[in-house]
Amino acid sequence: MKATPILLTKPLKFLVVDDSRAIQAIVRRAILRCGYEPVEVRTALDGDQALDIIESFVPDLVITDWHMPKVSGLEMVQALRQMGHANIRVGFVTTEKAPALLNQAISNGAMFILHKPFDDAELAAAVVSSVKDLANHVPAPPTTLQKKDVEPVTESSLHNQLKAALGNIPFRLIAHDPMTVDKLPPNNLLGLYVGTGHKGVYAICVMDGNAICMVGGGASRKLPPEVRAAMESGQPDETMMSKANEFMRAIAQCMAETADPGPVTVSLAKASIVKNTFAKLSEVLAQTGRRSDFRIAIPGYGEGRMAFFVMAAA
Amino acid sequence: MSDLACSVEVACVQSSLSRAWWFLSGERSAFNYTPGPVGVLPFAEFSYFMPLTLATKTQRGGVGVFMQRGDAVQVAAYMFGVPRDQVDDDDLRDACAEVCNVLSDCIALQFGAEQDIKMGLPLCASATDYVFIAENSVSGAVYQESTGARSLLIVLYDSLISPN
Repeated sequence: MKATPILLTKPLKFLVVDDSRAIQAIVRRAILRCGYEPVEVRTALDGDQALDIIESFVPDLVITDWHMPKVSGLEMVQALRQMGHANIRVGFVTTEKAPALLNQAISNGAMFILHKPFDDAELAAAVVSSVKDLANHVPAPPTTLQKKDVEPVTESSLHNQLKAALGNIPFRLIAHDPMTVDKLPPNNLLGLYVGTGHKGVYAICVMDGNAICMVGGGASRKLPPEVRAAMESGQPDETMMSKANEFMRAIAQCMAETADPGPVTVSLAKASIVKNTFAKLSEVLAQTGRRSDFRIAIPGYGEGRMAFFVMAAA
Repeated sequence: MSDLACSVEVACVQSSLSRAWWFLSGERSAFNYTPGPVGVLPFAEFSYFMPLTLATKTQRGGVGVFMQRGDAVQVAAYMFGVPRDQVDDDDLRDACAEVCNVLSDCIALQFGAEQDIKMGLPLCASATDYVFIAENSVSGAVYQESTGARSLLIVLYDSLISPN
């Protein structure tokens, strides 16, 4: 599923940092899959070697592992920033899961954190999302990654809704990172939508516990420690819940925009907290049809996930 | 580490392993679970061990990942994106260490966010190392590629004792 080539006026430059040459090869393939031409890809086996390379080769995006000998991925990024390379974009491909460490990566400007194992398409989507504004004369991301007929909620419409909810709070949205049961915290918000002309449930939205706290907390202008505490305890307060519900209601408009065949008026019928052990949730998350998955990162808060599924047949 | 072994939710591990194996080999596969302890398993040419330490306990367990050469070559060829006959021994070691890393992580993650699991570095075991580890360690459970087409075995150790 290689994307249509997107010809650039100057090469996009990538540096892949991983102590496994096999993973370097996988990451390189995913970069090439994005369809940008020409690209320059260099590799380093650890953070130390990467810093040496960057003295003569300034990449547009560094994709790095976390745990490496000598200088770790995070230490390398911190060193980069100290050296004045504030503009070099960075993404992590790692098995690291510790929230405190991941927050450090985000606060050092990580554009994405992708956990191994990942699909090539997930990494390609993260790369496109990170560099698309640098690619001159690129009309749009590869069509294979943004088909209206399989995306109940587009990245841009979700971005707009989040912007409306969060105001000036900076956030980053990472598309195409599938929500799976193993990534869910204990408590999650499940929203059921109805649509005109459709019997039963038209669509479902799942916000994980972190996303509830982040969106709800951000919309109610809570301070980061309060939001992080709610995320850690898995217990969003009443205000957060109310704002998260409000956000879910607003998302109905995004779903209506992509209804196919349209037009359909979509509205939120019910929203409930469900445990990650709720059996039906697994069935929903296993859906491979019309779905949109997003990861949201807010500096100081952390990361959360949300996913949208159209259940009605087209 | 028997508490750890008990807390592993088998179904989730199986699902994670399948996804990881897809990432590493490009093959869809499922994994059968056999509760431990199991006896000493035959040595595989590519035997890797990953030490796991639960921060709240002092006991040290781990994961063993065992593959025969044919499967190791296949997975390395997929990861490097080259034909099988272009995979050399360095490539095999590199790929198998990463296989051990990713598959061990699948198992470590199942202990939940509240459990602080420290993963070590993959150890490539010689036949002699393997015998020492197998005789001195306690296996907890085994996950085996279910079609039988692959030699892949993943063993969770309640206690992992490695040489030196």
